[in-house]
Amino acid sequence: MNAPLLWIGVPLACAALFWLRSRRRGLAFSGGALTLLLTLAALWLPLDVPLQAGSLAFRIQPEFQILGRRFILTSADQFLLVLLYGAVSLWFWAAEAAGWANRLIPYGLAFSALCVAALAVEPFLYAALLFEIAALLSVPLLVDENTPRHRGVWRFLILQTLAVPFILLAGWLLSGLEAGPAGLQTARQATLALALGFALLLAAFPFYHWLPMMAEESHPYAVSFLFWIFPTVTTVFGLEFLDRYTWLREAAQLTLALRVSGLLLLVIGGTFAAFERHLGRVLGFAMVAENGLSLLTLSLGLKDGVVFFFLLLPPRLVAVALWGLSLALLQKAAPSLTFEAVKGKARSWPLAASGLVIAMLTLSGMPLLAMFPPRQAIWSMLARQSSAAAIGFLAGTLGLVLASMRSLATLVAAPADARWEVSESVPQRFFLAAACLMLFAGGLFPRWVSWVLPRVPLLFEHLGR
Amino acid sequence: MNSGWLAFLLLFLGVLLLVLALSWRWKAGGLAIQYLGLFWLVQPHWPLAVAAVALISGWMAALVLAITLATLPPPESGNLIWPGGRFFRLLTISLVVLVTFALALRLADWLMIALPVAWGSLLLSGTGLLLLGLSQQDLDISLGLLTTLAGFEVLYASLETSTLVVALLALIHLGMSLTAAYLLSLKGAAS
Repeated sequence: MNAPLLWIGVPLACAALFWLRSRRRGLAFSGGALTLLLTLAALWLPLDVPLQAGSLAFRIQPEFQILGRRFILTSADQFLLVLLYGAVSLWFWAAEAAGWANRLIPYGLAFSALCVAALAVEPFLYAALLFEIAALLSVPLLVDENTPRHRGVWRFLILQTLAVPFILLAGWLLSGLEAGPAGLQTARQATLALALGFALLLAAFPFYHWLPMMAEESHPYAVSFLFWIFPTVTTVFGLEFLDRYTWLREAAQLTLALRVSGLLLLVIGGTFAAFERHLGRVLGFAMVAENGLSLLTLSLGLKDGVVFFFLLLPPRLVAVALWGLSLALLQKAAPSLTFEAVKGKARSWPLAASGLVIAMLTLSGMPLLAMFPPRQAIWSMLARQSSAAAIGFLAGTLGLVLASMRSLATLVAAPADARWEVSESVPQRFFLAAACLMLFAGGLFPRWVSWVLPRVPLLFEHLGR
Repeated sequence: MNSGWLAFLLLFLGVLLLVLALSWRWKAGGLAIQYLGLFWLVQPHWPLAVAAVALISGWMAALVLAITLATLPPPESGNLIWPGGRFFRLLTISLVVLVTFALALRLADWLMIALPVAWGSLLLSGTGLLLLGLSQQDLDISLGLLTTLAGFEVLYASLETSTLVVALLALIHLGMSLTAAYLLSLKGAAS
């Protein structure tokens, strides 16, 4: 038994099995239970330690070799596995309620396993190829057959494909730098290739257009899944680069590059979200702003920034999942997600509408909601380093708040004689209410995410320490 | 003539068909020829059996697209490359050939690789980007992506000889064509 087989091989095999049985009911339960088991295994199973189960003695090896290359998952990676499979589990349990279980469970499971494989492969630059395969696999998950256009999906594929050559080339140049003395010129070329590769991979400015396009054309629940998982794993992949190369980590321009690109995304995302008239596209722009927030957080310094980046992930996960679920329900109730189409839907789908607004306000960093404590801390640290950056942060945040207010006003704008009714089914009500409660609980008791703090430094050799 | 230059000529013929042809049959043929050129250029760096994987996966990708397109109604003329004229496309591909030649001289010198490999790689990548930039048609976008990746594969073969990379790249080529086939068939069903 070895760890990569358990957390990559088993999910891939199960994804194939789920795909074969994707017409059956209960898929969400099977997928949710499997990912929950994988999460618990990552939480409790010790790696590379002799274990005894009755008369059976075994050891979970951290390494798996294939075609001369290795996949390695050590005990330090278990925190990341808990986070990823825990998040996937959350999405899977509510997939039936969102009406997208048949697609999400098989393709989403394979997608997640490939993301884990990308973080486990050695040499780690091959991760770019695995991300590309994951992106290809995400297409059937995302595409809504009732939508005639798939421009967002195509653009996503184009940008991910173009990222592959840059990252592989950068990796090759960096290996030359590692092997012996190489010129400043090579370091510059590697940095340029790396910066371009990551700008494409992370949907940085000006490569962010696929997010709102995809959010408009694809199923909202699938989109929300992709919007959380993909930027998270690609950012962790980027952090691995920084962790490995000292000269890159200590480059004077790194902070400036992260801050400028982060601020651009945050301000653009917030501003466009404020003026958008399609709820799906608002999600897309909010995620542009969130990606910006991640980069901005990392610009605070690679000790605190990395810790704050991981502190943002759990509340963002719940908020994005809630946003996706609410949109999926509203999409069923209305012909489209334009403001005109969803006007007054809060009267007939009150929980979905409330969930949507609470998710939006959470991502805007409103007090009493789960994103407030980390966002407040980030803003405060940012203000100490740069007033201009703090003002940019405020502008982006105000844009998101305005988008939330406009959405709320649209959803409740029903004729006075319209009757109140609850159209959500019992499971839908349960998942919406649970997610809302989690967001409020996260705001009222912010220390619940403190379990992240001691684990982050273990993930990396140099970062977060 | 050096066999590298023969392979380059094959690549050149392939990209000409991809850019100039209007019929999907010629385009699929161009893609298949392109993969033959790729095989020829990478086989000095990779073992023959490994290089054959790249060739077979490329041909399978071309075949998947051809089979899908054979079952679909012809695309609307309004969705073809803009501007649609062959003369314009001939001009753009000529520009790509010239620019990539200028760049290939420096690339070959920098990476210490043969000129046909450097030029072939850049020509494929440039043509792929050209297709991506000029067309909004699903077929052209998928051909553009496959061609861009093939261009990088030619270059990367001279730098890295890992079997896992070859396997993953073959998977990507196949996956890309299957994805394109899926999206094309969805559009075909809708129309």
